[in-house]
Amino acid sequence: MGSRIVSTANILVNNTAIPIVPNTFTFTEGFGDSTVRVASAGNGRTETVYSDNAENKKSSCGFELFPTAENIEITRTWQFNKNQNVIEVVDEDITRVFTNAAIITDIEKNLGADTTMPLEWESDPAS
Amino acid sequence: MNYELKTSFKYAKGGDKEDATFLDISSPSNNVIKHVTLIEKQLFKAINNVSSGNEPPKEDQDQKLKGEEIMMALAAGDANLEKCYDALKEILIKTCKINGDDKFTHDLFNLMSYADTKCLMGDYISNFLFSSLAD
Repeated sequence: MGSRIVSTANILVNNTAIPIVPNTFTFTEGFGDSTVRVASAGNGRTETVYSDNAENKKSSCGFELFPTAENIEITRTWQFNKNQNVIEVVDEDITRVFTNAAIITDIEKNLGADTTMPLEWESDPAS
Repeated sequence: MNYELKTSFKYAKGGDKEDATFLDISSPSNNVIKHVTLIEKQLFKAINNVSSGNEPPKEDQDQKLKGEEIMMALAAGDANLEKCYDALKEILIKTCKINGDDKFTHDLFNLMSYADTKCLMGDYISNFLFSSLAD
């Protein structure tokens, strides 16, 4: 069986499916940054040292919505919730849950026939 | 009416995931009249089909039917269960709170086990619809 690109996952925010602008969902797993440095081990030898930067162990995700009255209202509610939101991405073979999610920007609500509202979220690392 | 879930499921609450353990369902108002009458029609149809068959009618009419008995009657009486479950979903979205205070949504219905849905349907009819018909 051939593989399939995940492009039409179901996006749930606080238990409700949200119709998003197609192909706009992006996320990071929340592993944070890691670096590999080189230590000198003497006699010309070196060894690598791995380090995790815990400062960045958070997920970010984003998607765009059409500026319908319903979406304008619901995004306002999500912003009032601060970090008390949960985003779930559900597809046939893959599921991710982002808990304690907060919208980190003041959403630019572009009103127009062919405009969208971009949402940027940050949350606990994806599970 | 309170319904204890046999199989709990996780739902989003306050930024985290929590176990749903019971549903608090309020009695139907005219807000859900379309869906309630659909279930009632199917119930009448099933009772009519069952009583016109070989099965003898219940002797004690005052005795309240249990949820399982109602579901058996619906199935035996050839009721359209699919339509009934759809109607139940719409009713729950409008009249049910998870764990007593959180909104029930379309997508949460999909997380409920079939066994719970079946039992809940029987209990709902027994508590709200059959009792009002018997009055």
